[in-house]
Parts: sequence; structure tokens; C-alpha cells
Amino acid sequence: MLSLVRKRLLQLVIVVFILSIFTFGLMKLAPGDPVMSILNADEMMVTEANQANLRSDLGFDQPVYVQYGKWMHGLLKLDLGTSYMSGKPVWNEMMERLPITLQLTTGVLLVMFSISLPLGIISARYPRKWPDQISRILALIGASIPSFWLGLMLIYLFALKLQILPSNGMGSFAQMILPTFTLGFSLAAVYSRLIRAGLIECFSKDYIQAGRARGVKEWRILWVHAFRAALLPVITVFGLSMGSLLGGAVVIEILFSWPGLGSMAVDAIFNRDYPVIQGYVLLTGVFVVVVNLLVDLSYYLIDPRIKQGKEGSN
Amino acid sequence: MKKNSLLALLICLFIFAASGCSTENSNSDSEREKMSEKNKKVTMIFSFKTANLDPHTSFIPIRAGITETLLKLNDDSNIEGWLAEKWGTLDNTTWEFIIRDNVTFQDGDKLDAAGVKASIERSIAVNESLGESLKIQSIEADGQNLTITTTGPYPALPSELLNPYTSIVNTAAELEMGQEEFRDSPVGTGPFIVKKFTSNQEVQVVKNGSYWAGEPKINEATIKFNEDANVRALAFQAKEADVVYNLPAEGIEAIEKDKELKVESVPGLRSHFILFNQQSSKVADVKVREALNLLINRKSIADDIMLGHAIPANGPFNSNLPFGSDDAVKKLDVNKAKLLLGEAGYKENADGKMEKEGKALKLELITYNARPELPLIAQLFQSDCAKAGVEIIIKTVENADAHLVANKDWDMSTYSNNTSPRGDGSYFLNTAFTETGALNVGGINLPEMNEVIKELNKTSDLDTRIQLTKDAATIIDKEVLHSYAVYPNIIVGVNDRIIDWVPTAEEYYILTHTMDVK
Amino acid sequence: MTISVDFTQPLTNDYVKEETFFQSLPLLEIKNLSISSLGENKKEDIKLVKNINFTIKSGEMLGIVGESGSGKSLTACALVGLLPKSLKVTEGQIKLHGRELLNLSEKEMRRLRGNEIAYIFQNYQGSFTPFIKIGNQLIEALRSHRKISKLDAKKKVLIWLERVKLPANQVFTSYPYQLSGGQLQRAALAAALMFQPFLIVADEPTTALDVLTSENILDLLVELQKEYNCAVLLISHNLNHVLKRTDSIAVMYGGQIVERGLTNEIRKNPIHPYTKLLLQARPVLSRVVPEKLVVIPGEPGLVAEQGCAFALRCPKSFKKCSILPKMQSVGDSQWVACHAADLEADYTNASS
Repeated sequence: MLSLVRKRLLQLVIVVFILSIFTFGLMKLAPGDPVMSILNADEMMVTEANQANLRSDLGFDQPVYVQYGKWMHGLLKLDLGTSYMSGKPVWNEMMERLPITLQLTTGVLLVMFSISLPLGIISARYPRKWPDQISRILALIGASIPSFWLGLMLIYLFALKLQILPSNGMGSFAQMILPTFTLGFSLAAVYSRLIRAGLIECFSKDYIQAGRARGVKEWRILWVHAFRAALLPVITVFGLSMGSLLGGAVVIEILFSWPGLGSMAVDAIFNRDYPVIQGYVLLTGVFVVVVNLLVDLSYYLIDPRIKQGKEGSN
Repeated sequence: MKKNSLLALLICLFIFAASGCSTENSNSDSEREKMSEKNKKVTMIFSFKTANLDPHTSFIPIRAGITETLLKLNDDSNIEGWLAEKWGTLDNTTWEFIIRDNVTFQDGDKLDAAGVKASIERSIAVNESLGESLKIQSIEADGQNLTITTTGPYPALPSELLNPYTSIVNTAAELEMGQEEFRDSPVGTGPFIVKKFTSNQEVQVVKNGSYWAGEPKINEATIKFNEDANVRALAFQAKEADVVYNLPAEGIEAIEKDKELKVESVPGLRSHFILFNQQSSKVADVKVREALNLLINRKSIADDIMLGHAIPANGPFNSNLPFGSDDAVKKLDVNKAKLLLGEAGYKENADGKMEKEGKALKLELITYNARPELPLIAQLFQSDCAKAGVEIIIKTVENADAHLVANKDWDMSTYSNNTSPRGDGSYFLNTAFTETGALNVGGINLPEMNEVIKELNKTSDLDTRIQLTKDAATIIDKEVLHSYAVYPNIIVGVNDRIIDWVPTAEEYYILTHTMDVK
Repeated sequence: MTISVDFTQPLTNDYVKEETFFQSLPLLEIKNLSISSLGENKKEDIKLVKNINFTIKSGEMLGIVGESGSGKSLTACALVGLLPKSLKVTEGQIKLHGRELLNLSEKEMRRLRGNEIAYIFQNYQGSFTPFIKIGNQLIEALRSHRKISKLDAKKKVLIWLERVKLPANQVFTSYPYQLSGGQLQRAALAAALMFQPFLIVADEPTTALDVLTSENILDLLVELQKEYNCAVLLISHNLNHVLKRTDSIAVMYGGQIVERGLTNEIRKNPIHPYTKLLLQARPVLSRVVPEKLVVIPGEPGLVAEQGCAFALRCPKSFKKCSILPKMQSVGDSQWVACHAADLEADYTNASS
């Protein structure tokens, strides 16, 4: 297992390196640069000379690979650079935003599991009965509705019409409800069907019958025997979606005024704040690889038949 | 069964949370009523967020009433003294300011010329482009007398001192509390003091009891930031905020149904217009530009695209301003346009298209989505041009400035600028019409215009300045350097409980000491 | 008669294990049992097990033999209430110590499974959950029926693993995939015997194992069964296994029991044509290889819709076989359902 971790960490370095080159290249290819934004050209008297000076100060007149090399040089000294717009170190910017994104992510996961688990389990236990039908319809709705529409509708309903929840902002528990539910609902829709499918497949396995034949209590059959195996596909999808969740759910962040990593990234992209964009890509890259590593390790915990590299057979 | 009890638990949790919030709300409602005699509170929502409250890099501190500048714009868009009681110059190079005597910073330190000097020096150090705008060579301070020497004759200095980035702050306080803290909690001279700032989310302020112009009527205020227009509208309707800036025009009808809510549509200082690529041969002929100018349906843009929340434009500056143009607004005139094109050598061919030397007139118009009305204006223009036989090809780009500078094959572009942010036309004329100006993406370089601008830069007499500005506008009109479409209004939602306050066009002085609630 | 040594507290159900008291009553009574598959609207579709009757006495080993599709496995499933959802018991009674099992609630059935009736599966890999250690699964089974601590349960499990001749500690900490087929079936045996159930249902327990291991497992089963006086229902299509070890035997074809009785009697004197053919069809190793092996005519699975299920393949079938033959007794301990046999019997009677 340790060699798996080592292998993955090496992969992490390679993936992140390639990501950074790719992003840097794409960004430099895209037209525009941060100079106009930094100088507030739409408010202040700025001349072309000002712009040219700033460009050369920032090193934009040098070839792309030189600029990349400079950034990489800084990175190796563990310095991610400073944001053009705020003048703050990129690391500080990201660390300021990270707790907010984490809070959102945690809330979303809580909502997601608390909806999808019961729904998935009930659908699997009583397939084709009314709970199953309802979960199917909900899954379809959840997968089809765009999150910004759902968010606006929920704000309209709960903040304006019913006046029981605040429309935006963060800090209080009440302010957590709408954003986490908006995102959590669409995810829950997908997960409930995954859990249902996994469980139904498990229930048909011989060893479940064997457990029942030994008189093991039904709830144990569900939670200890069936659920664990059903978890495998769920955890796989979970790993994939965690990466994007940690990257920040941009739409929700803007709608509800949660200044997390997602809105930081969007602002940086619009303003061509290269150091921040690079830092963000790095961070998300690390998240995704680490999360997927944890997922792979958890496979081993859930089903010891799966050893590194080999697939488990049911 | 386990899952049912889990579901039940969740439902209970949700109800508990929801009821907790509603009691919170109802508590604060009754609280508000009780405290209304003692504690007047206002909530606002702005459409831009800020990561810190440094007054020299953000407009929020002045808007929140935390800081003030030496000079301010009054309701007639004229410059008047604020922290500076009087000011004057003899040669437009040496400027004397008398700093008001009874002003203290919010931490008690007295405001004197030395403090102003330190603050201005800080602002130039912190803000990249401020130095260029102020053109200050040296500052001297003596008691309440401040002397600023500019690098050359610079009549525009007073209007540049209106810039929020020149807000006067207590640099001594910054030394004491450290730069990090100061940026989140600046010490200014304004009627409201920072109570709590949450980066990119909101700022809470309380009144400055010893404000020099009189005790503020409001006790405290919370200003929140939200970038989504729909959410701002919903929050306004849900009475979560008393004043909300930049409401979406489509939502106004629904809002106005509520008797407690008012929507102010304030004429703004911005212009939406079309600019021309001076290097393009197709629009090089002034007659062609004149024709195109007549194909802009300004009324329709104002009424249909902007839903009535705009004024048709007759020049670069809003007609309400003292230096705005008095000319009539050009109406849509397809026939006259065709005539003008004929004078430029175009004939209508069999397909109804304007043709010259065998080539139909096809023009590329750049537009962008950052301002949603611009692509719509482009489309309207396209259809009206088609009536005159001119084909317009619309190209939408992400970053207009970058595209316009990097490419040379475009002919026209929709554009939008705040043309007179500080009550003076020289900012816009200098940056958009001179060769070195950053906003001059079309490459305008007209000797006539350059002369007028140079003259304007030397003139300090207000009336002469106004006349010169109008002259510049006349030249722009004659040469059709830009085609101005509309001046969009600023749409602000104001709850009825706010009294003694209206939103103003410059969007600098928002939270004032005179604002009151019922 | 050995007295079972009880390592644990007495059972908490109503029935106390006293050998003598129950010697007179049969342990298990199957009366007129029918199992059908359900078609649309949950209505009866095809009758898969047709009105079978048999009994098992305490400590008795009954073998059920038949081809695939004869309905023997279904019968076993029905005993513990684990029929798949598409099948249902449509007629008849299953009585354990006189107690009707078909009326029990799911909760009561669960208490019964493993505890009073144990089940051993054919698919040994499917007997245990692959990602939980064997020891933990056995402890879990114990704790599902008794209130004992994990430590005590562990002790008991280790003792039983020894008893089935497994290296107890090693197997306890192993995952199912780490054990061989034989070891797994032994473990399954341990799981079955742990509670000293009244009845062990062994559904083709050795079909998937090699010959040597099969013999060992079956011998073990017989040994332990006798020691703890558990009745066993041994289902197999391997006639030799059944003939060698069982006290009684029932032969099934097409969902019907065609002959049943004491194994010794049937071995010496099979009456039903199917039974006769089965016995003849066994290749015997000690004799000279015959020219042609005996084959039961017709295709396996060919089942007559009406009357005797074997009629379509029976060399002795005649017109009357389209009516279901009744189970008649032949001697004290043998029953047969066959018109042809009746005819022969009448003939023998008449001629004697």
C-alpha cells in the first residue's frame, strides 16, 4: 500500500507540472492582459506609455517560456507569487478563500448524503414501489435543473415569498441552507441512483442470501454486508466530483456572495491575474490527485480483495 | 427502521433550523421597531465586492462614508470644497488649499495640512496610476495651508482631487496598527467608522459622533456585496436591504408593485457608443461615418433595449451636465444615410446593397458580453444598417480592448465608458482622443482635436473650460470620431423608510450624514 | 445416543431440546407442498414443485436426489423462507415440531434461520461475504441469536472451527478468498453446527468440490450430525453420496416425489422406473467396462404437464400415466407413486 502512495505522489508532481504548463500556455495565448485592469484605465488617465512600462515591469514583453521559467523558479522556492490585482501573495489569497469553499463543500456533502442515502436505500429495498418512482423523478429533475436557476427559485421561494431564510451572504447557519441545498440537491439526485443500483446488485449476490440464512439481522445485512460493496461505485464518483467541488462551485458562490475559491478563479481569469490563476490550478490539481488517491486507498479498505493493480472479482 | 428515523431526524432538523431563523427575523423586526427611536440602521447592497477597504485602491470606503476627499462634486456637477475649505491657483502650477479647521480623524487626531500631505503621498505610492493623474511634483504643508506644485500647468488638478483614490486617511494610524489592519479598518474623516469588515462580503459601520459637519442621523449601517443582479433584486423585494444598487431593468415592474419600495432611475455619467477604426479604409470617409451615425436608432435603444432607463445621447457627455452638448439628438434616418453614402460614392446595387467599385459595403462590428446591452445595440444597428444596404458582421469577443489593439481588421466596435467621472470632460478627452491615451483604441489623431485638448489642458477658467469641452464635442460630432448612442441610467432601489436621500450620478457619496430613516 | 454438549446458555425460544420427548413426533413435516412461479399480477404461472410430502425425524439424514430442475433446491429454500421474490409457496404446510413455518412473520423466520434450521450452500464462495473475515462473520451470526460478548463468541467460534478440522486461528483471521473450497465448506459447516440446529439443510454441498474433498466433507458432516443429533436434509444429484450416508431417501422428478423410503430398502429394491434407471446408470468402478453405459431415455428436464412428470421419458409409461399417480406404500418404509409399479404389484399379488 505504501508503494501505491509513493507512486501516486510521483504522479501528482507530474500531473501538476503538466497542468501548469498547459494552463500557462493557454492563458498567454488568450488575448488581453491584466495591465488595463491594474491601472484602472476606465477611471484614471492612463497613457500607452504607462501600459508599456507596466508590461515590461511585469515581464510580459519576454518570451512565454522565460515567463514560465520565472514562475517555476519561484514555485521551487515555494513562492507562488503575488496577485496583480490585490498585491497580496497568492498563497494568502487562496488560504483566505479556502475555508469558505471548504465550508460550502462540507455542507453540500452533508446535504447530498442525507438525501441520497435514505432515498437510495429505500429505492433499493422496495424497487419499483412508490419511493423508487419518486426517487427516479427527483433524480431526473436534479440532473436536469441548472444550479443557478434552482438557486434563484429557492431564493425567490424562501427569502421573498416565505421570508424564512436569508437570500444571500454567509456566516449564520440559516445562510448555509440555500446554497448547500441548491448544489446538494443535484448531486444527491445522481448519488441516490448510484446507491440504489449498487445495492440492488449487491442484494442479488449469493453471500447476502447466505447471511440471511444464518439468521443475521436485516439491518446488519444492509449496512455491514450489502452497503460496503455498493459503496465502491459511489466512492469512485465521489472522488471525481470532489475535485470539482473543492475547486469551488462558482455559480453558487456568486449567487449567494460566498467569496470562495471559485469566484476567486473567475475574477482572476477576467482580470488576467496570471499568478492567481496558476496558483488556483495548482491547488485544484493537488486536490484532485490527493482525493483520488484517498479513494483508491479506501477501495482497499472496503474490499480487501482489491490489491494495488489487481481488480477484485465478485 | 433506520432510514425512516434518519429521514425523520433530518426533517426535524430542517424545521428547527428554519424556525430558528424565522424567530431570528421576527426578533430583529421587533427589535428594529423598538430601537427605531434610538438605533437607526440601514442596510445596503452594492454590486461590486472588494477584498480590502484600502481607500486608495477601492471606492467602497468613500461610498460607505468612511473617508472624504479634499474636494467634492455638488448636485449641479460643479466642484466644491469638502475637506479643503478654499482653494485657488494663479498659474495652474502652484495650488493653495486651506484645510478645514474643525476636522478630526475618527481616532481623534486633528486634520492638518501635514496629515493631508502624508495621505496624498501614500495614495500615490499605493495606486499605480494615480501619480500620472495628479501630476504632482511636490507638496508643502504649513498648519492648515497646503501647497501642491504640479509638474506643469494642470488645470484639471481639482477634478482629479475628486477621485476617491485621493481620500484623506490618517497615516499615523496606519503606522500604529500596521498596514494589514489598516487596509481592513481605515481611519478617515467621514461620518461613519468601520465596525467590522468581512473581506469580499460586507462592511459594518457605526456613526462617527464627532463628525465635523454634524452628527449623522443614522446610527449604523451594513453594506453587503453581491454580484448577481437577480439576487440583489430578490433581496430588495424581501426587504433584506433598504438601498440596492444596479437593479436589473427587467425586474423593476415587479418591484414597483410593492408600495414600500421605490426605484430611482438616475441619469448616469456613462455613455454607450460606437467607435471607429481610424486605420480602416472602409470607414475612412467622413460621409460614411456620418451615414452610419444616422443609422443608430437612439430612441429605440433607450426605450426598448434599456427599457426606458437611458437617455438618447447627443455627444460624449450627458446632456444634463454643464458641459454637455445642446445639440439635438440625431434620429434614425435611413434615407439621409443612403444619400450620404451616395455622396461617398456608393450606389445601391440589384440586391439593395450599397456598392462601390464592385464591392458591397461590409463592415465588421466588435461587441462583447460584459455589458449585456451592447450586443443588443449591435444587433439593432445591424438590422437598421441592412435597411440602408449596409451589411454589418457582428463579432463577439471576450475582451474588447485586447482584441481591438491586437487586430487591425475590424471597422467598428460598441464601447462603453464613464465619460465624466469627476465632473470634467478632460479625463475622457485626453484618454480617448489623444494619440497616447489608453482608451484610444481606434487610433484617433486629429490635429484639430489635439489643439482643443491642449488648450483645455491649459485653461483654468471654468466657463472657458466648458466652452472648450463643448468645442471638442462639436469636432467629435462633425468628424464623427465616435457615435454616441445613449447615456444609461443608474437604477437604484430605495426602500420608503429612507428619507432625506437620493442616489446621485457620480456614485461616490452614498452613505451620507444626512441620510435618515422614518 | 450422544447427548449434545451445550457450550452456551440455553436457547431463548420456547422449545427445549429433549431428545426423548420428541422422538415420537417427526421433526419436520412437509405436507402437500407446492411452489409456483408468479406471472403478471402475482398470479400463479407454472407449478414447479407439485404437492410433495415427506417427513424427517430428529437426528435423521434424509437425502433428496434428482436432476437439475427437479425442484429439490426450491424445496430447500422454501424451508427457510428464502425463496426468490418471483416464486411462492402456493399450497401445503411446512411444520417444524408441529409449528407451521409458513405462517411465521419475517422476524420470527429470521430467529429460526441459522438457529433452528441451518443452511449450507452449494456455492462455497457465496457462503460468506468476501470482504469480512470469516471469524467476524461467525461471531456476527452467533450474536444475531444470542446475547453473548464478542470475546465469548470468539472462543466458541474457535472451538467450532477446530471441530470441523480447520486450523482455527488461521481461518478465523482469513478472508474467504484466502481459503480453498474445502476449507470454506468446512467453515460453512461450522457456521451451521454452531447452534446445534434441529435441522441442517445441505443444498448440494459438495457438487463444486473435487472428489476427495467431497468425501471428507460429507464424512465430517455425518460425524458431527450424529454427535449433535442434528437432522440433515441432504440434497444432491450424486446418487452415490446419498446412498452411502443417508438414512432415508426421496427421489424427485419434475417437482414430484416419485419414490421415498429407507435408503437401504430403496437401494436393494427400487420400484419406480426412474429410481431403477438412476441406480443402473451409476458407473461402477470395480466391474468390467460395459459396452454401453445405461442412459435414461429422453432429454433431461422433459416434464409432463399433466399426471406423472416422468411419463414422457419412462420406458414403462402407458395411458394411465396421464393421471397423477398416488403415493402408495410398499412395505413399512417405502412409498412409490407409479401406476406401472401398481400394476406390477397387483400382478405379483395376483400371481402369488
